[in-house]
Amino acid sequence: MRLQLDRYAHLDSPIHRWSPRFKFAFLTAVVIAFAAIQHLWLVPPMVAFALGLYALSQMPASYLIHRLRYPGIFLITLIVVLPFFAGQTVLWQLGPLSIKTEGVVYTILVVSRFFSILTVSVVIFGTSPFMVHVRELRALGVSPILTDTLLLTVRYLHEISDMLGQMQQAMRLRGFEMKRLNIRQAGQLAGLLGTLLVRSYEQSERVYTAMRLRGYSAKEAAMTTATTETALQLNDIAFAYPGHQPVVTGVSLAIADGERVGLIGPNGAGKSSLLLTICGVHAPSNGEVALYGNPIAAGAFHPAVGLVFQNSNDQLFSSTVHDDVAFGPRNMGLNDEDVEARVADALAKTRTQHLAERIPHHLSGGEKRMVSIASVLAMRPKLVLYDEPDANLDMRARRQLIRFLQDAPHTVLLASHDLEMVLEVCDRVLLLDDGHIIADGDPATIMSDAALMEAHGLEKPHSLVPHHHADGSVHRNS
Amino acid sequence: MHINDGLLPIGVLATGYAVTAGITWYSLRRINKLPDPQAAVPKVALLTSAFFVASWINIPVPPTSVHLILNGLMGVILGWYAMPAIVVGLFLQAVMFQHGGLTTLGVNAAMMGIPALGGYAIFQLHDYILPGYKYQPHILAFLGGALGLGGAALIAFTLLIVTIPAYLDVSAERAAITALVAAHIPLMVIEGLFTAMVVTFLLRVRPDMVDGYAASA
Repeated sequence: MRLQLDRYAHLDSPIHRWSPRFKFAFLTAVVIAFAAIQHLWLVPPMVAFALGLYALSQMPASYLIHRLRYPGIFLITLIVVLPFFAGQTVLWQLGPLSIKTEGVVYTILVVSRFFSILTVSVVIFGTSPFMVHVRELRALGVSPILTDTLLLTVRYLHEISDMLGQMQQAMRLRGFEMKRLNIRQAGQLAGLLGTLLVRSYEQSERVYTAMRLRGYSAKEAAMTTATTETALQLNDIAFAYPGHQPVVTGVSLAIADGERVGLIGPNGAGKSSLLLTICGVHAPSNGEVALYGNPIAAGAFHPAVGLVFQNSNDQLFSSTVHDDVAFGPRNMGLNDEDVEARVADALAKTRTQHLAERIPHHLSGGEKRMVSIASVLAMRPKLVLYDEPDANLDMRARRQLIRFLQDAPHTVLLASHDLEMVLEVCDRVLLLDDGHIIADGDPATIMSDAALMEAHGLEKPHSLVPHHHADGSVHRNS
Repeated sequence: MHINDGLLPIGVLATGYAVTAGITWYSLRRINKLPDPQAAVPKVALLTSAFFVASWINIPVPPTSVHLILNGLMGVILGWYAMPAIVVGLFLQAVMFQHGGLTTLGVNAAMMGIPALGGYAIFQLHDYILPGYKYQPHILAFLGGALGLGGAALIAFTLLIVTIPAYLDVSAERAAITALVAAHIPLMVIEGLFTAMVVTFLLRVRPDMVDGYAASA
């Protein structure tokens, strides 16, 4: 949708070169003047002005016609109804109905005002990227609550529209067909609407977490100065959601600077909760988290620790890749030059420079993942937590991710069900189940223990199982 | 339900903007008193997107089909954030789809927003209206939804009637508009029913989403 709006925003007409502020002032003045027009003789100059402006913008006529498609029904209703019912002076008798002069005049005025205002607003909003207009609104003093809501609504509109489409498709595949409203189907449709709202709400909670982790609405960034060689120290950490049993209990561990540690365990073991506790989203109900000797305060903005989310759509909330990667550095209070340098560096490290101006929603799964990582790297974190980063990746994107993680310039804590990836990337593994650390040590040693793995809902990785060749010899992966 | 550009006189358009600006300012003032006013921005934005796309669903009511407006439900779920959400949603509809318009943004936002806040107010009165009654939330939600649409229709048609130029045949227009209001009564019932069913669903699945109700329920 945003693409449609920005389709001709990068042409090079005189109007494209107007400043956003001048465009707003011009739009306001012109639409007020047009809305005030009451005389028929002013109609031709008004329409000519609007069309002239449109021609000057160099946008194709088909685009304007396309824009008129939606309100077409309004225009048709006006044109059909008003001349018959408005006024007294009969202009033309059509059997029992008569077309009235006043009605015709009024219709011409309404339709031409509508057309001219619409044309001018299409020109103004079509000749700059939508983001530029929103930034200008903010510069003009419009509340950030309104402008932030506007940007996020545009960002997620397409995605939620897709979500609704998929849910409707799933309903149709199970025989839902609504030809005539009845109470049973109304109930099912209300369930669909309710589910849409709940899923949107739950996604908004994850988006908010992602935004907060990169400094959204934070007053300042917490400084982390390395006072120890231990990157991460957890002392008897416990965490429970309010009113529920603890999902993490008695977790103590130390991760050295530069280590790559895998975190494995069945679904519900507490892996994601542990990661969220480490980066300060959850306040531990017991124990302490320290990053290079600095305690992590829950709720504060700690750029030194980053979290890469399982679902990139939750993490990429800005309108362009560039803005998403710049989000964290901007909230760290850096100047524009430093922000740009960090964005360029993070995009280079993840080989996503070519995606900078793209809309996150339109990227492939692999591209989204690497851009998510870039958005965290731009804060130059010392420790990065990865929550199932391989989820929904194809083989090529997975391989790219593994190569990146093998050379990652930071300490890594990688939660994953992809045990082969953990074997390739990590030099240490933690097995977590039921909120406890069950095993901690060399990945190949722990994952080779079939009994241990099976006892905790896991399976020995295929590459650690000896293979028999056709000639009877046994092949073991090192 | 949108009034398009070109139809209303400039005084009404200016009044619409003034009313919307006043209510939005007051809503933002209430929001800014919260501990972290920006905390709810993602929630409001994603729910605005959800309401936006939900209003595209076609509901067949022979011989035609209708779209839900859901402004009463927005009030029930978003509370004071409903007005900023409606302003944002209508602005996007005007710019992206030419539904409504930029000159009528103020009028349309007031038309949708005042009844939405009415829906919110009805839900906030749950301690006084039928307290303890089993079907209380369903009835309140029905009223919120039906009055949300009814209020919007009433404001829209009142504006259209009062702004007809004096030289036109007002009686014929008035008859047409009265018929339009009457035609909205079944739509109010549909809107109220859907709002009640969605609120029932939410109270079962995510009661914390229904502003003000879960805390005391």
